[in-house]
Amino acid sequence: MISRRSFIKSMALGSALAAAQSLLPGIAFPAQAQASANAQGMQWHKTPCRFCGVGCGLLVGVNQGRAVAVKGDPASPVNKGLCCVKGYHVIQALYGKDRLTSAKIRKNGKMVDVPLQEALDVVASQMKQTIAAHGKDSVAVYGSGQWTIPDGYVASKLFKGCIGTNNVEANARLCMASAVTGFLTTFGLDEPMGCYEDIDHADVFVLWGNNMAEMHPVLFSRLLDRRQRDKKVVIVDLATRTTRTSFAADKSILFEPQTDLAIANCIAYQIIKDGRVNRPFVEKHVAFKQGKTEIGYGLEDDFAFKDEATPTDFSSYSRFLEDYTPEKTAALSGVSAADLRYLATLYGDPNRKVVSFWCMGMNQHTRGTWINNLVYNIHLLVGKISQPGNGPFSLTGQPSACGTVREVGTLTHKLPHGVVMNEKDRQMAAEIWQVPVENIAPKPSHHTVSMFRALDRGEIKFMWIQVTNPMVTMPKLKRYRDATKKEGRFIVVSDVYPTPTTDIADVILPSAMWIEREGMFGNSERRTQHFHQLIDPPGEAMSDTLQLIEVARRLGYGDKFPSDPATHIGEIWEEYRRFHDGPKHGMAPYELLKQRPGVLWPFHEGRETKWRYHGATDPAAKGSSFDFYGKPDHRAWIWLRPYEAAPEVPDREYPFWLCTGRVLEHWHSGSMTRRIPILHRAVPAAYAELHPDDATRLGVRDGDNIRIVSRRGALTLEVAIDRRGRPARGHVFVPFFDEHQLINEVTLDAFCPISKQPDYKKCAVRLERV
Amino acid sequence: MTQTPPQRFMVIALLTLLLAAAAWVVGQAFNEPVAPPHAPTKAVATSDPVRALYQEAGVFQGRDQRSRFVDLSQSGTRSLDSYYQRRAYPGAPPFIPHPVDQDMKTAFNACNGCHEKGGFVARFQAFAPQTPHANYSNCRQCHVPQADETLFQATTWQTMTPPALGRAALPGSPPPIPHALHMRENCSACHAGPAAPMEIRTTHPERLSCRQCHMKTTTDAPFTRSLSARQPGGTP
Repeated sequence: MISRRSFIKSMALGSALAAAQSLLPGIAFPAQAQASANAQGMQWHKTPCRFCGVGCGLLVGVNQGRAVAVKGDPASPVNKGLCCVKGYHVIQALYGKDRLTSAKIRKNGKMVDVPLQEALDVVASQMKQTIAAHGKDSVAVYGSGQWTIPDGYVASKLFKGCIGTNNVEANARLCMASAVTGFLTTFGLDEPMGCYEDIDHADVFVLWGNNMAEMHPVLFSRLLDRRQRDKKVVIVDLATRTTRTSFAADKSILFEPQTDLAIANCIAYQIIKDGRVNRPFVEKHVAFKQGKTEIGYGLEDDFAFKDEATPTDFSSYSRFLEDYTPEKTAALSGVSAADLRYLATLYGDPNRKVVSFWCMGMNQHTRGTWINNLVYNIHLLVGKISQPGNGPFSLTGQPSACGTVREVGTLTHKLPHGVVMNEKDRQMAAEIWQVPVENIAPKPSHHTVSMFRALDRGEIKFMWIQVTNPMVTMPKLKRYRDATKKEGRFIVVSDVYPTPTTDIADVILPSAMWIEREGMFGNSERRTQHFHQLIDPPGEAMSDTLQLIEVARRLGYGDKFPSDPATHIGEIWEEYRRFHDGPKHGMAPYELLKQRPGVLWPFHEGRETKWRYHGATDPAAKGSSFDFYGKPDHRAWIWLRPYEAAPEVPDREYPFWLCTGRVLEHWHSGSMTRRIPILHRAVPAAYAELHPDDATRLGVRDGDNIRIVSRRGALTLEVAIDRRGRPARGHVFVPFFDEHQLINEVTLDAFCPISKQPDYKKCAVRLERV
Repeated sequence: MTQTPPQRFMVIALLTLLLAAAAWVVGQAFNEPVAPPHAPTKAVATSDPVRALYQEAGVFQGRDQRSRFVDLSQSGTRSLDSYYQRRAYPGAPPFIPHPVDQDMKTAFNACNGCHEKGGFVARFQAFAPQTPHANYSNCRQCHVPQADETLFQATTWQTMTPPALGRAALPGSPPPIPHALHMRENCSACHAGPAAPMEIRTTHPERLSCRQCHMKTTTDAPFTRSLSARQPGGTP
């Protein structure tokens, strides 16, 4: 950190330079390399931001073939002209000096440059050989929520439709699978009912384990703007760690990890007790279901789980909630009974509109599906849903986690429409893809953690990884890194920079990123956003879509994919769009996407749908009131989900909770943001946040080193006291972006048995002075 | 003094009306299980022309207030070069060049204390630049301090040449505005007072309506006569 003294010095130096400059007019003192072009020749083009799931609209200034400036797009209803520091500097992520510009192949243990076409030949022949020797389920593709929609669509069609394996997964399994299963179990259809415009109407915002000021800063600014306009607006930060969000909120409530399950049930209990249930809504639009309990944590390799919905009713739901009185919940969660009642009052007050926001806190959770269900329960009890300013809102972290992974369905059980288990869905896919229906396997194969475990065991021999960095982001990392290095495994990595994942690759394919190619992203509010190719990719870099098509051609499936690089994105979009035809999920035509800064789906008969499941705003809803048409009974389901403890809780030997996450400046595994000078200089390395009392007890101070040890691994980090956040006593927080300090060596690979999403927020560690 | 019958009736009528109104109000309070769907929301942020106009209104904001804190005619030592050095490209949000105490807190007041109005900061022995967009409050969303000066990897990034100075059409005529106005609504933040870079400091901070004389250039093409342009609805 720059000191006061050095700042004053630099100020003095600056004025000396300025004085020199005024003495010697015409002599430039260049501090940065400058393009010779001036601002006059610059063209501005719309695009969504490359980074998070908020999906801000940007205007990128292009001059002489290079991206040179960024503005927020005032026409975008997402951010209305404002960006965050990552967005304003996103174009610098294109220009790291170590961009991958040519393909590389491992020869005698060393990576050597080869022409791209040769590398694609090798990928295709390796796939062919592997399938011939070990069957089609021995090859897999692992993509991400940063895949554009065409990338994911082509991957799914190639692997599920042509090759015939369901070994298609994406890193979004690690970030929002619980949100998906939450939506599906409660509503029968994925993705939020509302949109960001809810922010402009709500009176209360409850943030469930979501440090929105840092993770979704542009949306958070909209919350602050809303509060500035209407002083009665309340923001509640419900979290396990004190952050910027806590300071900006009107009320900060800290709870013990995992007890959000109890808190949500307690709020429901209190709403019923206070007589705040919206009875007409519940009677007409809600059904009650009970699922299995004590469902495990997925730690065993052969773990399998299938939930079952048993019908039940309101009175058994009320009885079930007796275990979650404010007093009982207070003892478990550490939240005072008064605060729990306050939360119930906020949700229950008929004169306040309430939006709940959440992201990784609820999704990266061994009971992630349950806690998603439980927050929906609250909104359903009081009928605050599917109306402007009222609704539960699940946020995402990647630019196209919704657009590509959830909507295209690049998960093992999914198809672009429906699931592989459903015969009708398979038939639809086979017809649109023009492949024999027998090609599509009716059984899901591996979810992400299971896929890497299968790689470790040797059932999967070939894996193609695109746009993601699992060698930073997998939990219990050592097992899965060792797996990739085993004899007989072949790993292809498509990326834009060298990363720990390209380090383990047998073939590296250089990718064209973001505005170096044409594509679409889909953000958290069901908004599909198109971007043109604005600049040329460096060297031989090629889009992931074209890489997949090139390999498909070599495997003999060339006729299934468009071949003209000038029109292929539009052709893919129009083919994909057929899957979602109709009022429930209609997508905007290609030509319209090109014109607008994003279009919301369902897009039906020329109109966007801002709020689903209500006759007034959703063309798919029947009648003039609510219609939860995702479920066959046209009702939303309230689930009886109990509190169950985390798989690993602090004990004598490992007395601290470890939580991992992000910081404002870095995104995902940092492979892009660390190459942006201002962002790297702001946060150059990971650190371990401790509560000051714990630091005193351990005898460490800010800036000292500490060793974090779990049953899986250990890592030494710099201690950070009250810098960015303050964990509760007995907790330690570490950001995961730093490839030199991999906190995932320490984390646990337990996952939610329903969503299969791992929990990066809770495991037990020991801290040692070093 | 006694009241005449018509006056008495009027008083009674008025009381009855009041009672009825009170009953209606109380009834309403009981008779409202949930806010009706799609009820209008007060103070909604709009993205219609009103908001677009509002951007330009910012040009006038904060001027007269600010002169109470800062002598706008005072000249500082800040140079345009150092102004651009703190930005990745002209128009990018500058980094925070000085140490900050409260990294954890959003600390709106901490930033606004110096940057809302500007003024001399004894601790840093410098004049604080004023923010041109004081209506945004989550400062650290876009402005970050720099912990060190290293790079993770080298970069081939090239910034643009900043807009040239001295682009006035005639000697002494007002120069055009070379940059976008979005989020830079308050001209005086960068162009007036001791924290303004010397090269772009106005000589006449007392004048309030900047855009009376300074225009944003939207085209470089000269005027050409076109017959089609004169026809109704025709475009050249």
